[in-house]
Amino acid sequence: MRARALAPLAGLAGLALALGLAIVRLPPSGRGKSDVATSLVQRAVPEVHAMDAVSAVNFDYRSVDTLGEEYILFASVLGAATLLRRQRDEREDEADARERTMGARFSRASDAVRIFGAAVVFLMVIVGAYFAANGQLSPGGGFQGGVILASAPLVVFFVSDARTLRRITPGHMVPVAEAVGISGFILIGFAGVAHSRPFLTNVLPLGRTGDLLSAGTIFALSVSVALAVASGLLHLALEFMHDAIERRLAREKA
Amino acid sequence: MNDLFRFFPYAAAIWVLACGLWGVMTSRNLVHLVICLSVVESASYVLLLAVGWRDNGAAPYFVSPPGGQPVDPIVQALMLTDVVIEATVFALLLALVLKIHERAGTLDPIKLRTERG
Repeated sequence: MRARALAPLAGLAGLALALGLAIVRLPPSGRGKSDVATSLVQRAVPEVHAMDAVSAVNFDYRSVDTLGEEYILFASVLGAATLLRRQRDEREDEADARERTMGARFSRASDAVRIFGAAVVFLMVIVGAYFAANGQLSPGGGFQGGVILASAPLVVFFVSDARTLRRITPGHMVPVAEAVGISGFILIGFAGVAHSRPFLTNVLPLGRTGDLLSAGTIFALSVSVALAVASGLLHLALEFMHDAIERRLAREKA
Repeated sequence: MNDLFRFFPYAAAIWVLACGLWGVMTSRNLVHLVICLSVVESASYVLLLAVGWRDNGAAPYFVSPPGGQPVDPIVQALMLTDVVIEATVFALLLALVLKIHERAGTLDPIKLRTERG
């Protein structure tokens, strides 16, 4: 018993030691020097015409990393959806029984909430699409835009009804959009190979710095990531909320 | 003395890490445990941003190559990756937690252990 109590303490002591050793070797914050960062900052505009260096890293210099990240996203969404769906099948009968006993009527959100919600959804779609499309021009990009876009249908659910949510996110469309986003990324990568250059080379015309259609593949990759992230997160949310949505659908019909 | 303050962000990252770890170790609820794990992960954001910070550094966003040194864009890109991964991986973990609750009827890791044995 005593040894078992001591084991975590020994682990913590080891961790503290490792962290202490790591910290003293780090450059003081604010004084760090990175040749990679310096050269990247100097090259992002002349080389790929990207005004946002973070997007230049994500969608050009290290786009293979981003592909790996897409895989993690895809795998986790797939795993979570599979787990939740299994669980649901096993529970379906039980849910049906509960459905019958629950006679609560669905009450519609007030007009004020619905109008406000419509305005919010409108803004979210515009801002999300703007972020996704302007990754090369301003801070933002496919990831941020995708997250905003994924939230818009959820706001629809909260201020409107489940039927509308089902209508704007029909059955298999969400996973299909996810697949299109990720395979789009890979296909754009092969555009480089088609030009006898390495995978994910920026081969599209670079355009004029500051234009929407500039920076070559950064724009296309950013949009495909937005699609993958938006549909991936939306897929997760829909799976987690499946029971709630179904219950509300049943109540709306009643 | 001034240089000592420059290690404060790293100390803050370790503090956040320690808080999260403490929560993970003492947790009696798996949902709580997953949230504590996300606190642990948050430490990496603080660390990455602290490493990438440059004195008087502007945001890595410019029309032409800047004269001064802006903050490191690479760690910011890494952090962005970190955030997206966290969101989806924690969704997977929470799905597992739901599964465990369904199978075992409890979310207490200690009860889980005794029930299995």
